[in-house]
Amino acid sequence: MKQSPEQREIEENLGPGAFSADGFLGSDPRSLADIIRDDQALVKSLGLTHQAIARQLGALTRLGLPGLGTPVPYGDHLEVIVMDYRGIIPCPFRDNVREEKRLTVCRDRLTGDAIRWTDLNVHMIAAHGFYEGRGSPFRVDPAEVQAMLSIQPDPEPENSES
Amino acid sequence: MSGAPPISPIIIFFASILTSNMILSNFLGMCSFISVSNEYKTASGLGKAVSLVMILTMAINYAIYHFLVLPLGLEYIQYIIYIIVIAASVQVIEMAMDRFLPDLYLKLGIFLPLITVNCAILGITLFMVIRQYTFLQAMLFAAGSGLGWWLAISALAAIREKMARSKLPRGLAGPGIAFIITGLMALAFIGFSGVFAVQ
Amino acid sequence: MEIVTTILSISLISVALAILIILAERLLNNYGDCQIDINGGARQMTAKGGSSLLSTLAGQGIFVPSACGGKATCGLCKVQVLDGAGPLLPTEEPYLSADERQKGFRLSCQVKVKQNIKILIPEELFNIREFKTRIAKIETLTHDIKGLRLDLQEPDRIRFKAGQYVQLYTKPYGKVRESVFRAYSMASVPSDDRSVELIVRQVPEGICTTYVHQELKEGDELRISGPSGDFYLRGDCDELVFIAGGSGLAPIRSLILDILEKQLAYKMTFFFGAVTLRDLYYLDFFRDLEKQHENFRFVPALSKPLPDDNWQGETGLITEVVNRFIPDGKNKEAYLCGSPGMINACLNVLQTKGIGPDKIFYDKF
Repeated sequence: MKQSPEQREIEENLGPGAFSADGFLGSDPRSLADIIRDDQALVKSLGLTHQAIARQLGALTRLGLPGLGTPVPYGDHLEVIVMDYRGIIPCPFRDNVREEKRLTVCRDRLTGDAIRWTDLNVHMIAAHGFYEGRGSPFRVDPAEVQAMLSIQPDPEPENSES
Repeated sequence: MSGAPPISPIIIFFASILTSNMILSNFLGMCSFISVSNEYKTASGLGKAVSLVMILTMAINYAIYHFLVLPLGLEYIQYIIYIIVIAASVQVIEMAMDRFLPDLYLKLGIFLPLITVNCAILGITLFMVIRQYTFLQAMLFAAGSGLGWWLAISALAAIREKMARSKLPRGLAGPGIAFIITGLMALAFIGFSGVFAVQ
Repeated sequence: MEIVTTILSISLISVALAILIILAERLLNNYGDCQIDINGGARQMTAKGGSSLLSTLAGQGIFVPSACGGKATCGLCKVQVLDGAGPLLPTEEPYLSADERQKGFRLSCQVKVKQNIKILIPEELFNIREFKTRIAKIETLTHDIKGLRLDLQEPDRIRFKAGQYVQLYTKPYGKVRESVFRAYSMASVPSDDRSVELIVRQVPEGICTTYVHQELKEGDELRISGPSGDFYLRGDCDELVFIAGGSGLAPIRSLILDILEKQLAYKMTFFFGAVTLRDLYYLDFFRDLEKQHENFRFVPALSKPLPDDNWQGETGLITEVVNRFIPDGKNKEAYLCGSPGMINACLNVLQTKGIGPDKIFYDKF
């Protein structure tokens, strides 16, 4: 399918060396559209929406912020650590959104498993349904997130088609 | 395919705008017509660009048809030649736009190079060949077709802008309603048929 | 025979059209020489048109701040254009308020110089120069922080106020095909004017910090430009509070050393916060300073020291430690440098102590 210059620019932005050292697509051979479509299907199969996941991740980041890098307990056996760095990173999707460079790690104290995400991840999930490609150092896998956080699905929206 | 039709160039000019409108009667050049008609300013800009390309390519293609294709008997590759000419003209117009109208150039984005494959442009050249127009007829035909295309897309854009707040059934938003509006406009333009003859 | 005519005619037509396009490009994309009038005639220059205002000015030695290399994603390159900029581009719209647009502000990375142009730029920009440097020393300070000492080659001296920063330019490396630049505060003191010291912390996936940490070696050449920034001493007070975290120590070190060198009479307290011991550095350096100077107190603090750290100093979040040590806001100014989270938290604490926002200074990047 013919790509507009905007789409081509976005795929270039997502590649290595443009907005981040290794890029957002990792070693994934799929096209951007396919990555988004497959993750959309995965999220749907988990009974969730992009908004619900982004909302929960954002809430955890806000919870961990006052810790200034020290762990903040969450629930029975989880803890959240928020580290931030100077500077801002613009969203590669050219929607004029800029995010601070903040990394949140959520660790399970019992098993040692951890998931992590950046503020930019949260924005890209909410606005573009993009969880990053497989093999990308900052891919947020919806299944792993759900396994650790057990996010509740949103209630059904009121206004559906009649 | 005998000689040129005995119609005054002025009549051809008006006919190509009203009775034989490229979009509304011949349904040529639909893709950018539907896609760029969201905003009036951009649509109008594209309409003007298309008209310019039509006039430029008609002049060049007329010369090529009469001085190259006919004498050398190159009818079998004339379509390729016309497309090459259209592609080159679009490149030149793009450069001119980047220089003199950079904000429109950025707003049109990919639709500027897509003018190359706008079938209306190849269409008018082929009409010129089929109907064996004289130079004056061909140029006024090109000008009129361009104007007609511009008129149609501007009208559609204006209607869509006005409709932006209306409650549409979800499935019809965007291209769906655009096609319906185009169809209704085409129906209205049928009222002009028979007023002028274009061939 | 037909094949020959076919090939010949198509080739001829293509060549003729190619020539047409080349001529058109010469004519349309050639903007000739353009006059740039700066600050109402204070400076005038002639440059070849066709490039962005940002790069045209840089080519003439005037460095408008920019953090994104002209991609219209940082909004830092605003310049007031009085005349000759052409219509506002859609890429500029998100960064300019209605008021700014009225005053003629534009993003200089998006404005193409096509004709004579009149602009207004702040005086400080004229002081910014591009320097060729050689890396004299790379020091590993912590697991993710490196210190660089750059010897200036050309020009060989730099004039700056303690607390300002420079832009560091990378070269293409690995998968990164372009040169990028990022701002780093200078840790060296202004009297040390033949060198520049920088402290660089590795940002996960950061293009520039990865370059610094993995690619640079001692002896390499490095390009920087500067100085820039409004983070410098105001000093309209008796006492100074310095708070830093991570690589934010750099400008604070510059400020403290400069003040001590000039023997200014301020009472200074420097809070340096981290989570565990491995994130602290220059501890001995500052402890020695504390011993040598009565008016300087050094307060390193760890928010969650590990048992192995054997930490004897202050513990707790940096905000708690500041809260404990600072009684009130009388006659004080505060200088902060670190991550946005730390700065926001400290802003709150300092304001509850009565230090007004006009007395608190930090770099907003």
